[in-house]
Amino acid sequence: MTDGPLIALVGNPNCGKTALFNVLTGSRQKVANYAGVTVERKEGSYVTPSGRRVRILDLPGAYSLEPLTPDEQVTADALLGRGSSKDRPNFVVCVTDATNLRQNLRLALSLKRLGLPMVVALNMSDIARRKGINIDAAKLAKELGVPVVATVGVKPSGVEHLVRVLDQLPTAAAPGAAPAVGTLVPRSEEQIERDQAEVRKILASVGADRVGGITFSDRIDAVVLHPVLGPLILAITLFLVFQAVFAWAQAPMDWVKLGVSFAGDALAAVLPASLFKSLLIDGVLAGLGSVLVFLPQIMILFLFILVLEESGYLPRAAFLLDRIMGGVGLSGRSFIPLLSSFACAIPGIMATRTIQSPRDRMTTIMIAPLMTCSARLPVYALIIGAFIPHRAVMGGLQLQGLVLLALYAASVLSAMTVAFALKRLISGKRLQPLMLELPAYHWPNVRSLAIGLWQRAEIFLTRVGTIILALMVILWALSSFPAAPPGASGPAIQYSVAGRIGAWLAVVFAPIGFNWQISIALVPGLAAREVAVGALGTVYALSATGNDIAGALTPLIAQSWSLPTALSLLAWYVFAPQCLSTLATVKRETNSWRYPLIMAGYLFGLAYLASFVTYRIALCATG
Amino acid sequence: MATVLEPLADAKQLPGVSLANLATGVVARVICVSTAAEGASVELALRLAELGFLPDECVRIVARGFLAREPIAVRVGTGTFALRRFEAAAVRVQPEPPHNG
Repeated sequence: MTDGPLIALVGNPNCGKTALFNVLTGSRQKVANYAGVTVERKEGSYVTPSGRRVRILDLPGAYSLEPLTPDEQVTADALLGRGSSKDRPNFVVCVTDATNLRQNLRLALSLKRLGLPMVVALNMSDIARRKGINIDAAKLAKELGVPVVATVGVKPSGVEHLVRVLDQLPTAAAPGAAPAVGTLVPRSEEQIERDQAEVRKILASVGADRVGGITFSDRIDAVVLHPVLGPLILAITLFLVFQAVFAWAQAPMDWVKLGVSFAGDALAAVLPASLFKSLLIDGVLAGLGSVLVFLPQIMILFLFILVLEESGYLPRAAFLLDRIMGGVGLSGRSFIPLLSSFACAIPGIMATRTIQSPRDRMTTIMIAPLMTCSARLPVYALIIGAFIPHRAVMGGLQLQGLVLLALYAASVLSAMTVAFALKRLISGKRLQPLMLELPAYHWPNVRSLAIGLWQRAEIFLTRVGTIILALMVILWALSSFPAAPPGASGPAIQYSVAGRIGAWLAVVFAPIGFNWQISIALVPGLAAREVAVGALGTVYALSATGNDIAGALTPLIAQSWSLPTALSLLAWYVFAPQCLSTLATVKRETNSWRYPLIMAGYLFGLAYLASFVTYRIALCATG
Repeated sequence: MATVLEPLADAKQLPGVSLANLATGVVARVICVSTAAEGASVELALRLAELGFLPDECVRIVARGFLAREPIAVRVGTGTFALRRFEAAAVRVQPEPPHNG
């Protein structure tokens, strides 16, 4: 990775740059349609036909070299040699959307002024051809004074020509020794207008200056962005997504449960009774099994988010929700980070780098953890399954599904309330910018969907196999030692370290109805929220006298918790203080300890308050 | 046509109509980006220019939000952007006669 010339991919957002990067390097990374998905530095490499290794850097999409967002800053710094020396490219591939050259070529012109050697890639040339836009690459190359190559970023055969051109680069280029960079012409209205005049001249000479009438995307937008139909379609879409998360996941979840209990039975039958057997069955299997079972739901949620991203629908959803978000002092731009936070707050917080206004960005970061992340789903699903009867109400609607929807609604409402409060607290400019590109619709690419889903599964399984596994083993040890004194009555776990910690914590949590088992489970839940379920599995497995545990957590808690306790725990998890990795991400993104500390503090306070109110009301109501 | 970058004393002196008030579906040409409108700034004007709101470019409003008639989805050249009202108000346009749009 450290040798060979560095080639940077640069281009406007939505020009298919990341897809091109994937095809070139075979790298596994996310491709999307909304502005600025490339929020991290992405580097890959490949070997050219002549056997040379070249490195490829995928820079975040930018409209200009004068940055307005943290994203654009990264790109400008790398190109102007202001960033770290390992980011200084020897060569630039300016990726353009062949269907939108009118907008894309201005960046190409300012890149050319920088004096870095460059080639222009006419990306999405297949779509352009289908639209009747035939661009003469040779002629364009003559006009621009740099090589121009037609590419199709979604399939390997579409980049063959580009690969051949890159192979003919001067070989002497050493890494980091970027050529002298020309000066950046300061941005001015006049300069932009001169560039546009140049772009018009070029487009006219290559016969691509036609500004189309009504496009296919326009016809879709007429319905999707319709003032009445649009919000309706959005509401139905989101409703179907949440329904599917539960309905479609049922069968695969049952298979996982069956597999875990089968493995538990098999191990119990062959292993002699020992400490190791307890570790394996009560610690590892009971803990991991209860988390693993939620993999299908997380996959389904991510599949929908990826399809919405890739098709170009997400920026439209942001458009439709802009007014509502404006009411609490945010813009539609915050919608995409917040929607990602339903999967996990960490990518959501990183996606806020595309928000221009620092105040908007900070508010979005602060409320992102209130969105119900997928790690909370296991906790909700467990408690709802145990306490909410499986029956239809109000003509066919599932009560369990409704409770889940209510929990999601509570999270959104509280996020809006917090945003509104922050708007009042922080006085800033009243008018917040939107300026969000609505890219042309296109069919999601099956390959990149598969790559995206696989990445997610990998991340989840890695967590299960590392952090969660380690915590389960630690928790098992804390819950098993020291052993109960001879002649003790009651389950052995009460005498262990964890049992004692739980007993202290239970004093703090008694006013909101948590017993010592829950109190113990909350502690490892800080590391990763879904661990709380696994921890309950382990704690109850060890407190039970029988041997028939793995997978039977639901009936156990249904017997031993009161309804007010269950509701109180649900309310707790709407706000539940952030997992540590989210707080670490906030620290990194805001570059200070202030925000993560404020975040943890206010969420803990809200969680305790909400649980207290819920518990007391439920106690009164149930008599 | 000259670009207006200096705030004018009276918004009524600005040429053409504000993009924020252009009827949906009507094709117009950009006259200039102005900093005279409320909430506008040089920063905003330059970014709008960088997105393609430049003199003589074709614009058309594709859709409007339901409440307060914002945000506004605007086609400019071959790209589409969602703008808030105050952003669109900084762009002055000249509507084209309907028959040769």
